[in-house]
Amino acid sequence: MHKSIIRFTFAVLLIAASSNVVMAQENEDGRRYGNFCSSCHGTAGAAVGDAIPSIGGQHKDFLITSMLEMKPAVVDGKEQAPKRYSTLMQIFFKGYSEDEIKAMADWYSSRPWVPTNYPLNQDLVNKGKASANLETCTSCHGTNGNNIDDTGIPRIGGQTPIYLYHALLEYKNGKRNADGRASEMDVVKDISDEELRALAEYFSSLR
Amino acid sequence: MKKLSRRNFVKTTAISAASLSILGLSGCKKSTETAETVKPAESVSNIAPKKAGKTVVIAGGGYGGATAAKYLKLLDPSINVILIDRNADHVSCAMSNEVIFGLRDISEITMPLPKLAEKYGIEFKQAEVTGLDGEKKILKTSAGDFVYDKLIVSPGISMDYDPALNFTAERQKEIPHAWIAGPQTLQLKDMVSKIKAGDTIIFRTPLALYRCPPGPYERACLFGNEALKKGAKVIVLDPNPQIMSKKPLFEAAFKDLYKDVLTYHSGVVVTGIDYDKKIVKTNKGDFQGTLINFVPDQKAGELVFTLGLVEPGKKWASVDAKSFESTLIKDVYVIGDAIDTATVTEMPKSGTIANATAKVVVENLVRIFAGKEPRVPLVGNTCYSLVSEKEGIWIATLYEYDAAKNKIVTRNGANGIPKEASVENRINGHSWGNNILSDTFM
Repeated sequence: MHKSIIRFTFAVLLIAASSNVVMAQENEDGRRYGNFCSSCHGTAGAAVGDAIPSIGGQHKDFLITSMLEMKPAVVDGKEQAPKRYSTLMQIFFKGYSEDEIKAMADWYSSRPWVPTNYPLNQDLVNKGKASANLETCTSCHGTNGNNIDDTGIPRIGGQTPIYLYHALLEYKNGKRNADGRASEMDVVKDISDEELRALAEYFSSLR
Repeated sequence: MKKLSRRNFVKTTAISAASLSILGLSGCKKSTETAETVKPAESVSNIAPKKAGKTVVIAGGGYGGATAAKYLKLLDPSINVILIDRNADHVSCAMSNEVIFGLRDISEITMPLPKLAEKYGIEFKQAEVTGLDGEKKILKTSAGDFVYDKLIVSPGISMDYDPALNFTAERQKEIPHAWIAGPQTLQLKDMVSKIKAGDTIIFRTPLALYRCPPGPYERACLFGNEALKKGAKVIVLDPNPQIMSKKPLFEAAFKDLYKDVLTYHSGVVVTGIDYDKKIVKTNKGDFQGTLINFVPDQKAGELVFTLGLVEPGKKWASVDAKSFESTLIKDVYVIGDAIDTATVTEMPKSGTIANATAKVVVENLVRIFAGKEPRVPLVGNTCYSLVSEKEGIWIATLYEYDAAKNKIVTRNGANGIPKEASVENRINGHSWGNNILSDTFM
């Protein structure tokens, strides 16, 4: 009886301690600011659809740059067009300060990266894998689509496929022509839409 | 030693909790739309033994309740979470217009609550809620009584039929509103599939406040789309003075896409219905059709009336805008469509808002249990609608509690709609649907 109480207390303390460790890692402000984002980007940023990107476990610097580029700047009281194209994200970022955006990036980047489980088109995967331009992509993004040495470069291995395709089209069509790192993506301008679609499927398949 | 990731930690705890929980699922009776009569709260012999730790009981397993249950467990697996709903499956109202018009299968929006419960270690009870003892903090149900530290109530809406229209139970069956998803969704889908050339659809939208402000106009567009395909006509009868959401975009769709098949009338008061001849009598004349889809005006789900959470003469539950705690009974929180949005907030009655406010409320409950100050609501709303099979639109707004107004209002002007409908919005909207279902119910 006595032993079991000690054992029970120990177990409770252990759970409490480990949950404290877990909680300490979390940027609770970031979680609060970004609490509702998961309704579109998936729980803890792990998206399940095909067109909205996963943001949980995405590289922090890339998240910050992306969000700040979609936030419309205000110059002399006038709202400027955001540096980066988005459908509706610019509306939300209008509502957040730069510090709040950084806190959200901190929280989402500290979540686990969960590769998409969206069904693959194997034919497209094979075409992407055979693409002559594959090495151009992997030279920066890594052969697994996750270059951990440069957190300004997005993690793309296991990302949702249609998001990747739309992103590539935006780079190609000059909709993501921001200061940041976008000029490095000029390489996609000479690649056909069909090949970009296949490359998107290939990188989505790296799960 | 490898650090225990939050997700793995949650998973481990959830599995062990789930293996202990008893899911009372066998022998469930078929539920109905009407609430059972209120039983007096004095009999307390049937109380489930209260477990160690804090207990949060959640009544209603839709977007608000399911999100609250899941996120409580994600935030603090040590909290006992009991989720109660009269149905084992929740059928999402969001995206149910797509089911009616054959663009999604109903299985895609049918969410089994026992599965959610098992995954996160939630105790699920399929039961009717029958009463509340706010003093002793006991929720009474057909599956026994539950003692709570905090109670979350998220019952959605119920229909507020105009007595003058003599909508008997039989007529309610003949003219499905399909504004609460489920069997009526499939019934209307069947009626839509039988629309043929020369038919006239009469679609009556609900008077604000109602669930899903853009929903009626999305359905009008999809009726228009169906009419175009089949050579039919659509008459939209709107009691509101104008289109209530995404107005320029729906106006453009009515004008550009459905000009030849759809007529829209605003400020329409329906004064009578000839059910045999399918004639709808209004202040703007009589309209005869072959299919009537009459969406009645709405009020909060019956449950909040049963539990005494609605002020006399009101149709919606009164809550404190800062906390969503009932202004009538302490330690009871109301979220989702059932709240009196007109007095506490600018936020719409939407699934996304129910999902987002659930997260705010449970974060604060966990803070309160830990002796910390709760934080004011900060939530966003994203809502996609279809204007046709191919093109979509959206509205996006960020909201925050404003102490001076004691209301939840748009934050820093972050509110907008697109310039026009697009295929890209349709594609993103489909993903949004999958993600919000997953974030809430999986």
